Amino acid sequence: MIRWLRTLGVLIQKEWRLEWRSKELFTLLACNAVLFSVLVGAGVSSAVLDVATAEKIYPMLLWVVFMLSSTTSVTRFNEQELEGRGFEGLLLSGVSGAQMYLAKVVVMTLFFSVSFVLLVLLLALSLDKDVSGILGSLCIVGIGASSALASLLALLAAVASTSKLKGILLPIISLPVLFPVFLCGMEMTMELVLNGALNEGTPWPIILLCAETLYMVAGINLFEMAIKE
Amino acid sequence: MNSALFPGLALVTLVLLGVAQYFIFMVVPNEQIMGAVQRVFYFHVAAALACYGAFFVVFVSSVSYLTSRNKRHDALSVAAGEVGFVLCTIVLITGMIWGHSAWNTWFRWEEPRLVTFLVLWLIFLSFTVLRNFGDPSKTAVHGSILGILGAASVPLVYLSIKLLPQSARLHPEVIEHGGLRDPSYWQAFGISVVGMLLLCALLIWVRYRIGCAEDRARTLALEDIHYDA
Repeated sequence: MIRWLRTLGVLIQKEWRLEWRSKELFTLLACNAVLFSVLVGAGVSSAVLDVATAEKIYPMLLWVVFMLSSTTSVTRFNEQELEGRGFEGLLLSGVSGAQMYLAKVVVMTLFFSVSFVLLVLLLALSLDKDVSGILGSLCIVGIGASSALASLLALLAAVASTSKLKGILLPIISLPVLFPVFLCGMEMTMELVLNGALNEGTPWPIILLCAETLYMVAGINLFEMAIKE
Repeated sequence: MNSALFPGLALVTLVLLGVAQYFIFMVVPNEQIMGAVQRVFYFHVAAALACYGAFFVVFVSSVSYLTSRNKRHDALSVAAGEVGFVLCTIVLITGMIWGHSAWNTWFRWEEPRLVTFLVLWLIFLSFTVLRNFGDPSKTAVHGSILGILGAASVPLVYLSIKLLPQSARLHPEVIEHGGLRDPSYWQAFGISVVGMLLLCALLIWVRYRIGCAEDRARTLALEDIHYDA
């Protein structure tokens, strides 16, 4: 078990270093976050919405932008390993697909969480909304959703990266499956924005956990098949 | 499956669908509130049940392909996915026709069954896109992974939409509330459901045989290349 965890740690380091060297994922996430926030801000401003309406649509805009920017940014995440035949090397060295998958999920979760916080602040700025009172709770919701998002995208990015459509295919195949995560994130953010805290007995964290468990189980069992053929 | 059965099954399906049309348009009386538009119910519900059946076939054949790597299971998964997509489109269109008469709007976002079917349609769409644009050498495995993920997430999609706070439950629950009181309603409903399920099975069978023939042709072409070399 300790050896298994140590290998996982090494793989997480590898993912981190690959990203540190290329800086592709973070650059894409940050650029998309800024770009979508500016577009949303300009659109809302041109619609001349009142403060109350802008507040109501903030959660929806936040999650639409977050899902779109995340799914369009991770397509390059496996490229280097595919080009350098890194997956084959790792599998030959005895590393399991589950370990490779979990390492990717950990690193992706980290980047998605940072991008989520960035988006929360940028959209708050664009829509002139004060989120200082709920920023901590929003970050927790964001980390939970980022982890579910990463669990699915780490698997589906491996599926999409070898297709003819590459970057365009990933949002098409992942967004319909991610629908529960989108709803959970949006509803929890709505509760935070309107009440300052999550409602008592709210079902959304449990549904988010169910979605994450489903994606994680699928990823652990299927990732090796997705990269092996 | 024995191909000698095909003409018989096709004939039975044709007769059943013909009888269903006769019952729907000539025998069943006009519904008191909705009038003639209610007749769309027989196509809508029958197509929805057949669609669920097709999705179940996608799930089972995807799992069995990943465990056995039998190409016939993959051909079955492709066939069920494509037929399911067509049926899902029929469900959405007939539902919108009915909804426009009943609610004076083509689509209600608060209604769990409508949105679930829309997401189901998107999952079928992404499955078909992946099948057509994926890496040909990996499409079978990747399609199966998406098939499993899509099918497994449908209950979660339904549950999460049902939990939305503004859920209005506008969708009629005809059978649950003891509707269809006239015996001819039940006869038309039963015949149309059996006819649609048989049509679904027939279409899957035809597409499955085409898939198997395509696979055989590819194998023969490869053998030719090896022979020439």
